[in-house]
Amino acid sequence: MKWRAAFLALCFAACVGTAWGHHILGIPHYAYDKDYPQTPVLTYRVDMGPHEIKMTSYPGRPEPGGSCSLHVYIRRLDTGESFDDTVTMTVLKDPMIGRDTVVYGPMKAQLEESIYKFYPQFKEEANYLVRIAFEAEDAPWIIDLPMVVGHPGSPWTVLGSVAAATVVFLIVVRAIRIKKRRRMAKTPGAGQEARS
Amino acid sequence: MRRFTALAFPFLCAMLVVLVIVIGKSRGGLELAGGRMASPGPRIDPVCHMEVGDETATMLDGVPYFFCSPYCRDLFLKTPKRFLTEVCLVCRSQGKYTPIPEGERFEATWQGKTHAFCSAEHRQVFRDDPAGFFMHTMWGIPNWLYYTSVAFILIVSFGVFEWLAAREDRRGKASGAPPRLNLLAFAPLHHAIIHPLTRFFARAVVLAAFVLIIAAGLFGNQIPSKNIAPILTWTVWWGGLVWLILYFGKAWCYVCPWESIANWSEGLRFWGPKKEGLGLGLKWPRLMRNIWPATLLFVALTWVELGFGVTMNPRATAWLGLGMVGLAFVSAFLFDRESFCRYGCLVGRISGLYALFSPVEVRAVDHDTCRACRSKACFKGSEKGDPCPTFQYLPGMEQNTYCISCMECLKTCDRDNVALRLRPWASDLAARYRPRSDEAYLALLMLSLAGFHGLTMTGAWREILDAIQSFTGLGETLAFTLGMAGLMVMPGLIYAVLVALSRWMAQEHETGYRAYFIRYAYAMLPIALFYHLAHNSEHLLMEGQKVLALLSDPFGWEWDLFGTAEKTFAPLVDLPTLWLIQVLFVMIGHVYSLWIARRIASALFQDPKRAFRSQVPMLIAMVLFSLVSLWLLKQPMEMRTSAM
Repeated sequence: MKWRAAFLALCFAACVGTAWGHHILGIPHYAYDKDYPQTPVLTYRVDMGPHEIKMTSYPGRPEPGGSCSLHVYIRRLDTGESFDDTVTMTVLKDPMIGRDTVVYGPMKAQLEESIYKFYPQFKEEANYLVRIAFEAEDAPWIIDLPMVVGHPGSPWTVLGSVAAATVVFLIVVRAIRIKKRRRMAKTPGAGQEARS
Repeated sequence: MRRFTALAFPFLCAMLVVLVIVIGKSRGGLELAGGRMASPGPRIDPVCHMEVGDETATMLDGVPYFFCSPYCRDLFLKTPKRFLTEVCLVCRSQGKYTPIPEGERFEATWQGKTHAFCSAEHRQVFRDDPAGFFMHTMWGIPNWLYYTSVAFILIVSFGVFEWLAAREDRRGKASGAPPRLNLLAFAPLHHAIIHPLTRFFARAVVLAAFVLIIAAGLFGNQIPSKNIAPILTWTVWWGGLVWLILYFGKAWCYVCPWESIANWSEGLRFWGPKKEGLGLGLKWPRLMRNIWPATLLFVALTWVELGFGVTMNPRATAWLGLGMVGLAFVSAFLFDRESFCRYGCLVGRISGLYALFSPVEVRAVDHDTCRACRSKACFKGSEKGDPCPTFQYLPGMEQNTYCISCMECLKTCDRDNVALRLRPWASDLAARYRPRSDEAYLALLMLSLAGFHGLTMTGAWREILDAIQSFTGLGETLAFTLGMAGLMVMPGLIYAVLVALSRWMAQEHETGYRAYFIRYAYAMLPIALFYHLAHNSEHLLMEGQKVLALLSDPFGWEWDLFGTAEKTFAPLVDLPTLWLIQVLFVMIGHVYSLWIARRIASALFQDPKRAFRSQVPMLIAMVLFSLVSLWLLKQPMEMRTSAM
């Protein structure tokens, strides 16, 4: 019986392959916290000239006041070689009206475990641009990628406020009408006067 | 025959424009060498960077190139190297075509494409405002056309027109009332207009388009070239609005979605007369019973639109639309009838002023019948229709300004005494009704702001802004505000000086300066209207076709509803055709201004000599404003959708 159990256990063990660390674009799966999958990872993949650029952000939509891990991975499209020189990151606030302002960086990073890591902090709820810059083959390369903190451009917030304000406005108008009508009813002949 | 020509003239002008477009199209737009290419995808003119459609290609060393106009093609063929060599984007925008030296190449990527620069400074200039460098340049009218037009304006102003007018004075003015044609004599049209569902359906269609703009603007892709909201609002609607006014008067107000939402909500019904609304029915504040609120709104809109690039921001476009709904909605619940349309709506007031020129009017047929009428249902309303929403008393209505063409008076009139009539252009301006100061100032403001719109799209505006910033040390927004304020006031000041001169030359003592100033201001309106039309035609005819691709994917979510999402459509006209149309408009506007100024002068002075003397400074003003219009059309213009 023992031998049979041991044989089955060995067979089962043989079926199990190598346990690879599961990474999603540079972020190990154990980095996900209890909020997962509610807190998504932001992922961009862009081809720029001869390079492929991947950027991930965890959390994908940071909350105001919080920080996030921005990981950048760059490789050549033709050879598949990873880029290994310095990469600079700047984060700019991207207002709906007016010019962009720098809120982080320019911060330089060296290759670390085949990715470039940055940890910017976002004080305010807003739309941001993450600017990644590097030099390859004596040419500078720059890419801007959008990033959102909180829910700044969310029309739902404003629409909700507008809807609430509309309801309040309608209630006030209704209340004034009722009050006016009662006052008219109390004043004898007021209605007739108004009509005439 | 003369009466028929007067009525038909607006439509003859429209036919002429269509004919010019058709001829332009039938000769292939451009006479270019080489065969017709059938390769798919967008083609970019290497000179001005305009996206051209399925045009004929010019072959050079076996490579096809596509151009928007012979101007670009000739420039290219003269020095192809200049356009094929990689040039710094910033240098090119300054008119320098020096190739980037080897080893001094700086690059920056924007929206997935990499661009080269000659220095780190220029790369930074690009990064500060990348969208600005992707505007394609629309070449202005060529020199020969510009100088011919200038000569025409001078000859017409100081020669032929005065000679013809003097001849008319000698022979006596044409007798009889101006011609009118009542369109409601056509019974099916009459029935269609009074049917309550007609307006409801027309409003519903426009409201659906408005909802699409709001939804796409708020929730769609925020890259302007992938969202239908900016182009449908600023190019198709705003560009087409002046055309609409020119031929159909206040037709926009008939279908206005802001008013529809407000009116339906307050009246709790979609058609038919309102029983009892939910609003308070207060009187509009006495202090604001003029068009200054609308004028201020218009200035504010221009400031936001041009100062902050709202035309290229889908979400801001949607919020502006919702803002207008909000204003109309609040006003409908607070104030009596449609007071907002009468006093507060910027589109209603601008179109109202321009509609003084339009060839349609709603009027009482017979004033004696109105006098005999006791019910005054057109003003008070009846069970058949609403009272006049803008407080117009039909027999007293002498001009189009405050009528919103809702046709309620036609429904309520028991005596069938309402007419929808065709008339010659500028009939209201030529009629001698009582001028108002707020309308006169808005007319002058329209002249300033129409020109300002054009100026901000030229390189000259950048130079003015730079000069203001370097002189005052102000930031960009403040410099823009200062520049805009200066350019808004400048035409008014020039006009004010020339009015004083005119009054002095005519030795006028009876009419005060203010009354004189107000009366002549109406004569400037056709110049503003037709320059506005010439400018907007450039947007509508050259960029409007882009909406066809966006109809398949209005939200920018990679849809292809009608199979047009990936297609590139050629502009409706080629550039030489557009130039002819623009110059034609400026000429028409100028001639009408001259004519109206003459009517005003002859109304002010019995003595023809004094009338003539008073007109000379006004002629100078009109020539000056028309020449500025032509100069603006001569400037290379940065088109707004190319950055989208």
